[in-house]
Amino acid sequence: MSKNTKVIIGVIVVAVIILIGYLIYKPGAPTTKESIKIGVILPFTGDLASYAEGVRNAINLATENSGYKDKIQIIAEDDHGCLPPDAISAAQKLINIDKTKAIIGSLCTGATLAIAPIAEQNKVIVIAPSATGKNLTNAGEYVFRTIASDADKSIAVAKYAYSKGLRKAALLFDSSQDALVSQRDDVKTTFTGLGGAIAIEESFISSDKDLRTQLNKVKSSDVDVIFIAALPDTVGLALKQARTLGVNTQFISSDTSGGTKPVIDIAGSSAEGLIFPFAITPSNKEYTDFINNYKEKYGTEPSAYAAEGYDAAAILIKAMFASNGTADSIKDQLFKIGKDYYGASGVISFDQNGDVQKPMVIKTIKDGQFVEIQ
Amino acid sequence: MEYLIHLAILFAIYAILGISLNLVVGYTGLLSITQAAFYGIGAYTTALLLTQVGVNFFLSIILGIIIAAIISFFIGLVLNKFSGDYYALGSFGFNVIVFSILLNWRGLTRGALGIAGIPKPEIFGIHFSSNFTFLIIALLSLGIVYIVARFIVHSSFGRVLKAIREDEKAIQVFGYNTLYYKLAIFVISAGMAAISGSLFASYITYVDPSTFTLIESVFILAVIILGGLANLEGSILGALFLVLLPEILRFVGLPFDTAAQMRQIIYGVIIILLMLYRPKGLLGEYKL
Amino acid sequence: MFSQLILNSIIAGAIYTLVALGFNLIYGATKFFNLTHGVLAAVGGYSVFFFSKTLGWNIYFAVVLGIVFAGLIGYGLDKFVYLPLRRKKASNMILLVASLGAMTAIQAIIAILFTSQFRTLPLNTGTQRIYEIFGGVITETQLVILVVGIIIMATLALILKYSMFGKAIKAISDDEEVARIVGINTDKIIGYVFFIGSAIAGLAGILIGFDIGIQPTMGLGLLLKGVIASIIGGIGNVYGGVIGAFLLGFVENFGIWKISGEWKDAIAFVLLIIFLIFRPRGIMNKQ
Repeated sequence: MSKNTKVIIGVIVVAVIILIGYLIYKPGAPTTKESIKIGVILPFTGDLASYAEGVRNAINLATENSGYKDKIQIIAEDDHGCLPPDAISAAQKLINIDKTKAIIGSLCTGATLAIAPIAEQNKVIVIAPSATGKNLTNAGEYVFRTIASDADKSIAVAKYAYSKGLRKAALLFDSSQDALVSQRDDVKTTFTGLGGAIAIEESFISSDKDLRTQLNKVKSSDVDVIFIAALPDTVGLALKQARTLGVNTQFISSDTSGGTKPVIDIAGSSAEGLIFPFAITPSNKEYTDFINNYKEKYGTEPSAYAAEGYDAAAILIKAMFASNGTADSIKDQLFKIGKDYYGASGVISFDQNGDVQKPMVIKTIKDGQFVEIQ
Repeated sequence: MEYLIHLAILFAIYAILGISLNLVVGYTGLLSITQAAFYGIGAYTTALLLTQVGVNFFLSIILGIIIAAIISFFIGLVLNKFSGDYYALGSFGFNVIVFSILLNWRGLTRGALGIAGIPKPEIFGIHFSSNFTFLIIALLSLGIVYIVARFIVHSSFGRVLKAIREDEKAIQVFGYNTLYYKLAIFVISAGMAAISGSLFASYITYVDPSTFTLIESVFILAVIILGGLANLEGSILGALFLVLLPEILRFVGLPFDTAAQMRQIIYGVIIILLMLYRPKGLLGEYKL
Repeated sequence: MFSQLILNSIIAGAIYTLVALGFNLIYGATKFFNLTHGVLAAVGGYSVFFFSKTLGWNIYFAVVLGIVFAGLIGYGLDKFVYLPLRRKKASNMILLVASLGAMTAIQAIIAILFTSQFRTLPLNTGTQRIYEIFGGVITETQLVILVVGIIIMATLALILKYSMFGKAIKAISDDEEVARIVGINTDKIIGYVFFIGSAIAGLAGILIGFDIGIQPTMGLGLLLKGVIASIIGGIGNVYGGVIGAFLLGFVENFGIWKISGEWKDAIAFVLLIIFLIFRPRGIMNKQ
């Protein structure tokens, strides 16, 4: 090979060696009782970036409100759109280089499932703000989550629909997100189990914003209710497009994210009447405080799952400062603190697997506001 | 160290993918942008066999190669009818179709839910449970693929491939059935990509369709263009570079709120600069 | 609801038309798959968002600015990235990878400036006018998209056929080397082509923003559909791009009438492959 090529290879090899040396020998500051490091893994780039931004902002907010602000260092890493290998790279870096003892992340089940084994091996806490996959229940003793399960949400709305006399349903769902596929399964099982019928099912993927033909099919099928398992943007678009097409059937979102501002922003008056499940605390104070806090600091309303992110961070910070610094101790504290904890995203009680089962209420959109109806 | 071992495993996986694609693109001149499809087929084969049927990992690699080979045979037959840019487009199309099948045929692949709990390899009682031991398997696989690729490239078969790249009509005149050669190398390349997929499945322990998109195929193409077309060592170097680059960027201090996006900008700009100033890639001999 | 199905197909086709027109124009002249073409739609949409919402300027003025801005970015990309590469006789693959880098960078810049939140561009607050045609429904915005698409197609067709500029583009499409030898300043013409094509892409993004909404990552999907439309219609042919776009819109919507919507992309590419096998030159191209 030519001299130029040799030079280039030489430079690369040297650079790689230097990098390796730096990484191995750079001391990561250990977590002491005086200061803690928290790792964050979220899809900051890719289609779900807006949710990652919301969760990250919520984590920042929790850090500020915790009272330990100067003693907490948040290190955020990107999993490039919930890609499992990238999530693992992020986790490996956070655990082995930054020496964090706890990670908040990720947004999606897949990425969280990928990092769970590593967390277990290295004894690092993983607390997921929005990963609802069923497999995470048994993914490890250090894995927690602050989001209600897909089953809880779906069963709540399916039961509600049935109780209101609705019997014939259409089911629209996003086939490219695991949580939404789960919700579609759960809604179907529950609703048909109660005695209802799913007359028509239509699917789409997250990037597909034109649902007119699917809605057209629903229009010709004479149903009393349309269940929709989709991201808030899509829910908003579905409502808007449906009303334009003359589909005036009742829409029910199976996900709590139906109760977030983007739905109203996108659908406008078409959003009126949308029904969705929600987790609340008895006084709802924590939720309203969080919304106002977030609006004050960031100028917009928080996106979906930001509240769960806030709770995850708040509980984690409390637990870490109450612990002796080891993962087992943090884990014990999490169980202790996460018991009937009133959070922005509802009442959080970790069960023995680190999951939460939040009591759900049913809400609707009325005059541009989210109102509880059951 | 664990972090580096992890990166090394990813590097090995992408190096195999790079070598496999280079055989088709660099040596034969076929602009194929669908490698992620065979990567995915290998991954899902291993994932399903290991979790549903309990097949041995190493056996699943072989089965993955066979399935990828069969599917690529049919795709290759269709692609053989196209040339130049249309070959690329057609291959794009197949990538999207395979991806859609992985995503929507929930009965087989569980779609977006993915397949979790894929076990680590095991043979004759040896359990390859640590990352370090897995790295050894990955590097061995890379070694085998590299040797096979080298053998192909330096053989008379390889010479025909290069001749097809230079001027397909000319070599047809000499009586060579170029369709056979193009199909053969496409299938071989798919089989190799499937090996990467099997490694991926067992290492990450979870597969879902999101890894096997069009963008991933373009990424693999970038690996070989960066490393140099028609240069196997170049593909290995290209894989090293493209796996390390985003990780190195993690360490570059950037404003917290926009760090991830800024890294994307840097990544994009570096790619542009590399294309502008070293279009042959690091070790390339052939510029298409 | 058959008539609605037809209208949906026409609406989808109209959107694809705009993307295909710009892409076809640029591809005809440069012959490489420009991954940044899609992201320029996002640039157009977000510019209008910036000018009208953030700065509060008049919406029509903002739209014009958005179109021009998208054109300028496209022109800039050509001048600073693609032209230097073409001068070095870079292959199409190099250009493709370079455009990948540019697409990644531009998308990230948009995400930093505007966050990744999905946004809508409201033409007027409140509900839009809706037209009923044979029992189906189409909104005012969608009608605008359709009309704009046809106007641009007609304008481009006229320019390409009757102006010196158009003839120069045709010459470059046929053979760039020869065009240069004959005395055409190919670099300059290609620069203008990038400007116009990118401006059209920006317009597509703006109209989509009014009809549906914008997101930093909206470009790639649009681009792929635009490419398919161009190929099946006849690459390099203005009318072809339009026909291909409407055909694609119809096949997609009629396709998911029969099978679930999640297969939409696969249907689009199966259509492409069928054309590549049986009529690679596309519908409108004779040779």
